[in-house]
Amino acid sequence: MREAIAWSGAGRRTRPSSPPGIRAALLLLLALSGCPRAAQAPAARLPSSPDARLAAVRAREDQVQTLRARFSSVTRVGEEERHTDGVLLVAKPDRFRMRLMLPFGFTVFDYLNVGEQTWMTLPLADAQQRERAGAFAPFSRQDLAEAFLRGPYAFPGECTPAPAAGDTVWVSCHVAGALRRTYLIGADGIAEETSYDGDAPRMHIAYTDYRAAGGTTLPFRITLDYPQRQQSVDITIDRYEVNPSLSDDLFAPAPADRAN
Amino acid sequence: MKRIRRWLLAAIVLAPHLAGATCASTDACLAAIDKAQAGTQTISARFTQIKHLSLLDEPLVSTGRFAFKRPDRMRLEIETPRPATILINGRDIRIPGMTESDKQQLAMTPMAAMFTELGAMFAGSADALRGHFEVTATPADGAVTVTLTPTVPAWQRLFRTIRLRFVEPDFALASVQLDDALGDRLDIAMSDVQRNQDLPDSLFDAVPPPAP
Repeated sequence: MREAIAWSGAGRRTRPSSPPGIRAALLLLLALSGCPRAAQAPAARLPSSPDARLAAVRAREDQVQTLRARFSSVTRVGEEERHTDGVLLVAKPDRFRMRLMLPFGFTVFDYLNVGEQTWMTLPLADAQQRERAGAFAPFSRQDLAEAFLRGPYAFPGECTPAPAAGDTVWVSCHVAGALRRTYLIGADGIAEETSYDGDAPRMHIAYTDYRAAGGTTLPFRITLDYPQRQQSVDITIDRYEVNPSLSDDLFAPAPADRAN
Repeated sequence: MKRIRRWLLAAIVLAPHLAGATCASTDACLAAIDKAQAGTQTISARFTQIKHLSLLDEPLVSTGRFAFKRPDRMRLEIETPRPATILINGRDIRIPGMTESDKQQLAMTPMAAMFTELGAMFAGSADALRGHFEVTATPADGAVTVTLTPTVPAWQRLFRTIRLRFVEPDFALASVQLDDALGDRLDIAMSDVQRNQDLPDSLFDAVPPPAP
């Protein structure tokens, strides 16, 4: 059962009611890992054998234990667009934080996860909006773990690679016989990733613009589509820091949340 | 003799500042600022904005232009690194990329009301700020720093403090420092401040598309 628990700036516990655009922003970041944009070196090519290619992709992801990324994103819902700049911090196995800013510098969103606890702060929201915090960011912890913490969250159950068209490898992951995730892996890295609810695709992520960085290879462009919600998010990574030193202070709840 | 010389030297050094320090209390300083702003119809300036994000080691820097027109219209035009224009007309705030529903929601937030009250500073009615802020004003180094500390919870979630620095003799706004509740800080330094230039209403009505 997927369930998201969020805490508003006032410390009120809320249950997300609908999927927002911000969620996409969250999801995408995770899958990357990387280095400064200055690193324009071509991505290292993966082995051709399906088993070896899947193993190499997972090994790459395991290389990234901490991550700091600056990004800009465009969320599209129907014909409407939202532009946001943000910062993501990840410290595996169980901590991540994301902060979003308006173009003129105001911080408008802070999401913190430590283990099983989650805090969400919406500084600009009024009391009613905080009550409906879920409508702003109905993150499911499962989605976030998949996107940011990777590992078994991203590759659930038993994952089987197979040769596919061209120089690609198709990977399908099943849990108790049910399809949970598929991957299309190109020579540079994961090209497409799809999560399923039952038999229906729930979230589709495309990764492009792979570059060598920080001893690994990471995508600098990530596009998320939620087919059932007619919603998409384009994320462009401005800068990655791979395995930076991230102090515990960076994962402390905001003072207002601490007070609650 | 040496002592006299020291006194003279101190007097020479301090004289300009003492002469400009027209206020000795918060009320007096606010009154001085109000008086200086009373004739202000418009303000235009350039600004450099530095965002100190607690999650990042390095600051984020942006530059742009600011315009104000009495009574409560403002335009923030960010030129670098990514062009964006924000228009404020009373409690109506327009931000690029904001959906109509977001716009309606934003108008209900404390931020909209806060902008309106901050605009009072430019319109010569600083005392109005006392509705939602504890206000202190102190003169130093040829300027008056007005420190605003929110007194209502909704506004405290936005900022811990806002500091505005007005430079004598005409009390032009020189800088703004905003410390938010998440521990991030925004420093805005104004330059090339022009008062009462002719700013057309259209400047505050439409957002031209960014240059390619």
